[in-house]
Amino acid sequence: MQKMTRGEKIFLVFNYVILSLVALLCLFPLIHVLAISFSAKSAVAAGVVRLWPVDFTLASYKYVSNRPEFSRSLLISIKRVFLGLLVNMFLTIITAYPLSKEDKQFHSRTIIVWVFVFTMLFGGGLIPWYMTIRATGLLDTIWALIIPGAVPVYNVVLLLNFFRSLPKELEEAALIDGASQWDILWKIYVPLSLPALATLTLFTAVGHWNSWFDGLILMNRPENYPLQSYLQTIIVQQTNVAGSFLQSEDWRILAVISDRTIKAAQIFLGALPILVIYPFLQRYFMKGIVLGSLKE
Amino acid sequence: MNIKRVLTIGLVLLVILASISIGYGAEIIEVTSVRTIPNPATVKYPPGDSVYNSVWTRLYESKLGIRLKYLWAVDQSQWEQKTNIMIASGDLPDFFLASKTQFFQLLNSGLLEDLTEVYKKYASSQTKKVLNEGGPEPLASATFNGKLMAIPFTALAKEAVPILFIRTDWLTKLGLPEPKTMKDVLKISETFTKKDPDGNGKNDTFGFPVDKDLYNTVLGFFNSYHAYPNIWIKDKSGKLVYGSIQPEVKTALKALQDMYKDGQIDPEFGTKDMNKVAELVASGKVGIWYGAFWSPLWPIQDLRNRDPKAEWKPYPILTIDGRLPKLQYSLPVNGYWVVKKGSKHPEALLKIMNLWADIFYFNKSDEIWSKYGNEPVTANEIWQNAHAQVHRAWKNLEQHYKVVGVLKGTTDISELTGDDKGVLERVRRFLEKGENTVWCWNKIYGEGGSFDVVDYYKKRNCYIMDQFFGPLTTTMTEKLPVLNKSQSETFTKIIKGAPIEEFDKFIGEWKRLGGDIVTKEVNEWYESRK
Amino acid sequence: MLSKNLRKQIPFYLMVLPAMILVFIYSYIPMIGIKIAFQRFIPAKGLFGPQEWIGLGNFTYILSLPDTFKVLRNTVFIAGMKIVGGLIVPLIFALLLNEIRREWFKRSAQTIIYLPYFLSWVIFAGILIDVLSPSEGIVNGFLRLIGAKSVYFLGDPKWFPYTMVLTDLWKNFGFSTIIYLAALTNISPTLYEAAAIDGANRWQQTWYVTLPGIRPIIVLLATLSLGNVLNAGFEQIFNLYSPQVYETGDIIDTLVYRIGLIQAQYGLATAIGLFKSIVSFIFISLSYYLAYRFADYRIF
Repeated sequence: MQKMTRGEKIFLVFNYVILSLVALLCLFPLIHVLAISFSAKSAVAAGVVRLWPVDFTLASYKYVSNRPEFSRSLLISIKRVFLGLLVNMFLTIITAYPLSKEDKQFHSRTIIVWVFVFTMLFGGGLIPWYMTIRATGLLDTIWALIIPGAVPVYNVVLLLNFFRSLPKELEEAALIDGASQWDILWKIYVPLSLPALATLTLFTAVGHWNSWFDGLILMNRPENYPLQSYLQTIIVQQTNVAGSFLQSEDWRILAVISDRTIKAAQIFLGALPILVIYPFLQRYFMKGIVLGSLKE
Repeated sequence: MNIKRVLTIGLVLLVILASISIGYGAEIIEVTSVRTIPNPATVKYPPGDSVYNSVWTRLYESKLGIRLKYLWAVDQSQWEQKTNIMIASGDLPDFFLASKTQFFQLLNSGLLEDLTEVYKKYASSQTKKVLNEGGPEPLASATFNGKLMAIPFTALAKEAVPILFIRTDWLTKLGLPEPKTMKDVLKISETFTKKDPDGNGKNDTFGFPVDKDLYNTVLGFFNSYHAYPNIWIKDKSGKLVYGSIQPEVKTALKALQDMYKDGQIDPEFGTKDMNKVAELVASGKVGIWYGAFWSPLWPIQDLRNRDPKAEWKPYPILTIDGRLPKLQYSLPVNGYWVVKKGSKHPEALLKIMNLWADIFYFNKSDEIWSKYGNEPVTANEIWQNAHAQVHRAWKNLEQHYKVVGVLKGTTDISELTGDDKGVLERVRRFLEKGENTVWCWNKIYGEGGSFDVVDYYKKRNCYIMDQFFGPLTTTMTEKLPVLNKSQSETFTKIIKGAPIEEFDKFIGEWKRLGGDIVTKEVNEWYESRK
Repeated sequence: MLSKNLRKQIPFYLMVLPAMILVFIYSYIPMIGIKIAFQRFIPAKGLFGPQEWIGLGNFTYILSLPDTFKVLRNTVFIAGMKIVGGLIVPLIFALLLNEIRREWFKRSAQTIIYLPYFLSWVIFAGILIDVLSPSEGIVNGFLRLIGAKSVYFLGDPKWFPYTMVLTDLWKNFGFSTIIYLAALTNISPTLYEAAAIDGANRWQQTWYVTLPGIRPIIVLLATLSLGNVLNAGFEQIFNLYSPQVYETGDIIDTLVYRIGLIQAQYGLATAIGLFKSIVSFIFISLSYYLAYRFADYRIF
């Protein structure tokens, strides 16, 4: 263990201070939203809630979760994330691997990569997307939330990049030993890519968990909504109070829909599972967990 | 006569009779539609129920013999997207609520059923009353070449015009009289800003709230100056002109500019949307509010919850010259109920509508109301499950008359519908038990409440309607965004202190950027309707 | 009889096959909708119905608007700054975090910086309006404390674009930081040891070992983010802008949104989307080509 120079000590202190400040900066908005979710509606409407609840109440959480739709949509979301992770990660891994090889080993790799990247940039819009999903019979099923987005191209590109940084000698040695490409992928490359895979797992899980738009459009029946879609239905965007929708008898529910505490509770219930799982995934971000065992 | 013969004939007759009665019992027609999901926070379903299978859908089947099947139901926020997708993929249900744009597009593509005869034959007198209560314009807007091509979803509009709300406990505290003219209101605004009405020693109050989009909060103010932005009005020669470029708007803007300079308007209004502006009311930072009749419910009730001593009173808009005000409003239609061309049972729409009108507006049975309207204990707004809704233009005003009448003893309680009784009960809770959380109901429906002002307006016909409600032409869809942007920027600039001559420049620019063409097309439409 | 070379590639072809099929069905087939960009599209006529073809009509309409150039300029300016900031800031934080030895601090910091990502812009905007308020906001309170004047971050056209960039960074930098951190673990510790033996201090180690070690990822993320050169952030700007900052804050997407408010125009929206796609494609292809041509390196 090297002794630290004075400069290095100062840097270390400086580092801790900066990072702490930034962490506080990032924490503060969430604490504010949390405080709102536990405050009385009128206190929030008066704008007096800062970092601590005013007129503490659990009303907003009860509103949001005390419904059969809540637990039902929660289960659907869990199912979705689970299935989505399986499908996405599997496809990402088996697609990224061949594309991480060079031209001379896999002649078509560049063309194929561009075929995928092209889809990240170009799209035909909502209407044909919907009609395609409908034509393939996925509407109103959980697969509508998984299959159309089954190939996360961004992740594939990231992973192929990680794969590329692994030494070629590994593959060569394994081929000499008679291993198939499939074996090489799953027995060598995957175990060595745990940090990258953990990252992608996190992104994929978060993506599926937070996604709400596809649920609303692709599910005909509200019973099939995943959690975030259901939560969206509780929050009515009150963009224009004097607007046309309030010309009908709906003005009576103004007291409910102007309630910002419900929005806040929604955020929390929506984000909580991820925040709980994330620390567990962090183990895999740690340095050198497997690389150390590598013999050059 | 052979016994066998008699029995055979009897048996045959029996079979015939049976099949006839089975035929009658099985007279159920199936109709498809689509709809929005009621906000889950306001509607609760017993286990097994949903918007697809509710007391209302079961009632349609048992009472009308109509099995209403929803192809899908979607959240309000995605309604337009989903209906457009539905239309583009050619999947129209038997009937549904189309937006104004969708209605015209479907009409022009020949996809809609002519409802003239169906309406004449099947609309109940109650439905007709609802549809005509706000005037002839809604039905007229759905009529082309003498044919009724949709049933307009009529809405309350005249009831919702701006009312001037003033914080009267502040008036008392600062020794101000109640306002009788607009000049009084301006003085009140100044005093509220400068004389520390919340008594905290800080100069943190404002006279008048303004939101960043301007028209939500300021429309009433403009109307006080006889200025009518954003709508088309008749000029002296009977032609239509755009309200935003008329000289009265300039005067009103100047007044706002002076108020801003004087500190009466929040210098940060430009970044505040309605929610943020409402905070000023709820936190006791403003004492004037131009809002619709429901303002005591939102945003004022939030203030009341925190400060039970705060008191507000509604006034009719006061004008700068003392003449009667005219409050602007647009065509009171929330959409159009359209029926797909070739639909087997176009009358189903009307039958469902009739049932709605009866139960929600005219039925006097408590039992029916708590089953299909509103269940008060759980605050379950069951009526949201009803389909084919149309709303009365003056129901709330009538409710106000009835409630006040009952309290005074001049109206018999038997004349009240379930909905009326719900309102009465809440007003009573405030008046008799002093429950602060229902203060707003009394302030809306009780004596001295919003509807006293609505009544004032109605008796003197203080209204001016947007004269243009036809389909947007291509030019309009091209030019309007540009015109609106120019207007928003200019008006905001002027209020914040740009020289008032900017307004004249704006008029020139507006005309140049396409305003003249749009005016021409609006007038062409207007002429064609005469 | 397949050549040996071809046979060796079969496993690769098989592996990409499922994704290719899925992408063909769900990404390529819907691309037929791109035709809408060249039509005056009316949903009632149906996707394959008798729509009116107007060629470049939607494009010329946008170009004919008086503010188009201004709006484009705003878009590129804000998006450009976000791209640069979005590369540098997360990288710096990843490097800083990497130096931390205490695991609990590192892990907590990592989790916390990811948090703002979870807030929707609707909520975050509400918070920002308070925090950045000239009269009551903390930021200006601090400025006044150190003797500076209050700044109307959200209402002054001069400041608005920078405010957008900084607040966007605040919300999203955690995302890329995580990617960089994962990449940093791939650098072999022996390289650091070797450098230390050669007498390199921490700065030099960072410059000569760390940065080159994650260069592929930096280049990749930079290239991919170039694809966003016309995406200035609709959700954010829509919730934070107002007429007083249209001058510098109105972007392509907000302009198209306001047009859509008057009457939904699928043709126009698709045309704008197509335009953005083409520009992104050009930028990314160009970078890819340049890297290949001059560094013999395939970015992906």
